[in-house]
Amino acid sequence: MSFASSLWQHARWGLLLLLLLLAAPPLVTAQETDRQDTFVYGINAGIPDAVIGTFAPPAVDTIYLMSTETSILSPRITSVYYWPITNDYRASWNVLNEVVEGDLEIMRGLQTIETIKQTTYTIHFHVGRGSANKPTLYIGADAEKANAQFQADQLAYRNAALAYEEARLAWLDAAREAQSLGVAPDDLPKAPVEPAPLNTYSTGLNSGFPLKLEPGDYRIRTKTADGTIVPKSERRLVVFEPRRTAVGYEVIPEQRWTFPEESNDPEGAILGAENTVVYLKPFVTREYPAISYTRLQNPQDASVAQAGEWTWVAGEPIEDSVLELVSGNRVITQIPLQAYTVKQTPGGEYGYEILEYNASTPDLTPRIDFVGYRLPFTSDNRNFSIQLRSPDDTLLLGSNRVMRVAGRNSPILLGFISLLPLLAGAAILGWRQQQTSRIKTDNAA
Amino acid sequence: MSVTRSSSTLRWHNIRRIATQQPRETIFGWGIYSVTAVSVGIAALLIFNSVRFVGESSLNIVAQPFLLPLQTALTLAILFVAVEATLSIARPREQGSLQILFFAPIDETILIGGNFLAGILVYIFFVLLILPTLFLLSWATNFVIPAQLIWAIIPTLFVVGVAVAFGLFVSASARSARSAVLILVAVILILLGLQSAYSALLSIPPTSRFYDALLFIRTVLANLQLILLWISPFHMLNVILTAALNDDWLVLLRQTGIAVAATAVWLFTAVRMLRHRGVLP
Repeated sequence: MSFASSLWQHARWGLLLLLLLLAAPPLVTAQETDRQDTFVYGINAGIPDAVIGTFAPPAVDTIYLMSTETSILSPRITSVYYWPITNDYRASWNVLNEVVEGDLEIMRGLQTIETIKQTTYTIHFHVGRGSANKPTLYIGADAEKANAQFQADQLAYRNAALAYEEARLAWLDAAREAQSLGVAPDDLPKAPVEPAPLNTYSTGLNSGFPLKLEPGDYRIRTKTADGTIVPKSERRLVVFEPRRTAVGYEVIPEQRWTFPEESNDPEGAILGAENTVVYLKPFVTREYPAISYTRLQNPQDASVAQAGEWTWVAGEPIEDSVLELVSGNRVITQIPLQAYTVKQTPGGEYGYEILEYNASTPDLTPRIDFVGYRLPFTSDNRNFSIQLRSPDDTLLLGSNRVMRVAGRNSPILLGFISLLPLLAGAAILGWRQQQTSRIKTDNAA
Repeated sequence: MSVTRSSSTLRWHNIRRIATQQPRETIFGWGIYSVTAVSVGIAALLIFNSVRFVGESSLNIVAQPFLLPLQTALTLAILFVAVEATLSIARPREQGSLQILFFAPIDETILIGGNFLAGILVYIFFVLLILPTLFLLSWATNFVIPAQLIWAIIPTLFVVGVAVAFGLFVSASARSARSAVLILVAVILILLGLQSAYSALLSIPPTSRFYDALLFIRTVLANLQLILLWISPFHMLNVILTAALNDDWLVLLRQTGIAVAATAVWLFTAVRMLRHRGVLP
């Protein structure tokens, strides 16, 4: 075999390999997700201070909702795929989002207790937190009216923003011209005022079943106009309510203000060290069944399996009450809510100081870092409790907390107390011994 | 009529005789004082740790103050009376004194009833011993004892009833005192083990929000807790004390009812078993 033919032989194999390599990229693609167009319930679950948007694919057998708020279930056909990285099903609403016409049948046992017609709804989300900024749910004619108003507001804002932009450009030109003519800065034309931002977001008009049911265990299904049950629409519905509602406190120790702790249980106690200070921030807290609350937020969640466990959930802050210190059934002092500024002080005890906010001293207290009730633990008052009184002079239920200044913690003293039952035993057995000896002596005599 | 009345009076008199004999022996022995000292010692250690935490971090928010110290002390009390009940029939039967006792106008119901009441009286004495010391601990450390917890001691009498009745059943059915104690220890280990395993699993977070490797074990143990509500006095004690602390009177009443039902079942089976096994060693 000549050198040239050997070279050609090798080149042929090389060419073949090169062709294979060039053909390879179209063969190597990202893993395809196995999509399926299927029935799901879109869920807008109402909770006291928010609306949680989730969905229930066919793999989810049970939907959890709260009895205290109106929620919306939207029957939809959508494209669902399994996402192995997070081990859950996801919906491609942008690929397919088809409304399923029909009514929702709610059953308890074998009996249908209610049939709900599908209606239009819209949810308006407001910027910020707190009861004033709770999302608003509009249903039926109200939804259409609210949506029309929102669109009008949106249009008005857009026009105002456009007008502002035009006015701002005109003002810039005028200011530049005036500047070039040597007009004094005070005599320059006034800048236009920016329109107030639109702090509301809307889901737009949608259709779904509004639900507000008594706590309990139900079954639901979607029934079309011809009486057939939509496949995969039958689910279990658990409606729950808080077991207890109380006032929780965020407790900020002065020594570590960035690490607050929470006191939710009304029967709980707050123990503090002598001569320390804590700041309390009250909020509404509700105790829910852990499994129900977790699965309301994510119906596919597997992190809670046990029924019978309870969880406290912090809600709206309380900012209109007065904190009372109670000792021996007597209110000894009332503490108002106060804003505080944390000022960094290098070399200080904690590296910072917590100062009462004062708007008239912007150099010393330039901003509000937190708002709360200041509560010192002193040796003068070692046992007391706190409670919140609302502006209408009523005590807030569940706001009471036992407060204690921690006492002596001598292991010798505690050990001695532990031995007291043995001492009592020794006394009783000694007395018994004495009695027995006396009887023996008497008998002998 | 008068014969029936005198018969029932005599039965009650005999039950009382047996019921007072056992506590008398317990009071004049070191056992109860040693166990009480241990239970108060454990409670003191738990309180010491809580208060020391305040010293270290300046703040300690206790969700259920004094629940764990009291629960520990009462658990030891239940164990003590359960062991005494377990020995109350098996030991005299092994020694042959039970046969002699039955020459008196005593039957199985009187013996079981008397020993049952004895167990309850010993428990009351145990509680009377530990309560002042727990108050002393609270006073010394300025720790809180919620009033609900003190009141909750009353319904725990029904829980102790379950433990004593079960102990009597084991005692009536065992071949010897040693085997009775071994059976009791095995049952206690299983019950406490299941309860502790469940509590321990609660503190282990799931592998991820979407996947939990321990899901099967969690589900099994969670379902077993429902069974424990009916059979385990330790679980009943936990439910009753927690319910009292949370002012959840419905749960408290339900659990008390369950305890009464379980006690009745164990007492009935204990009587039947004693009749079946007899009084001979």
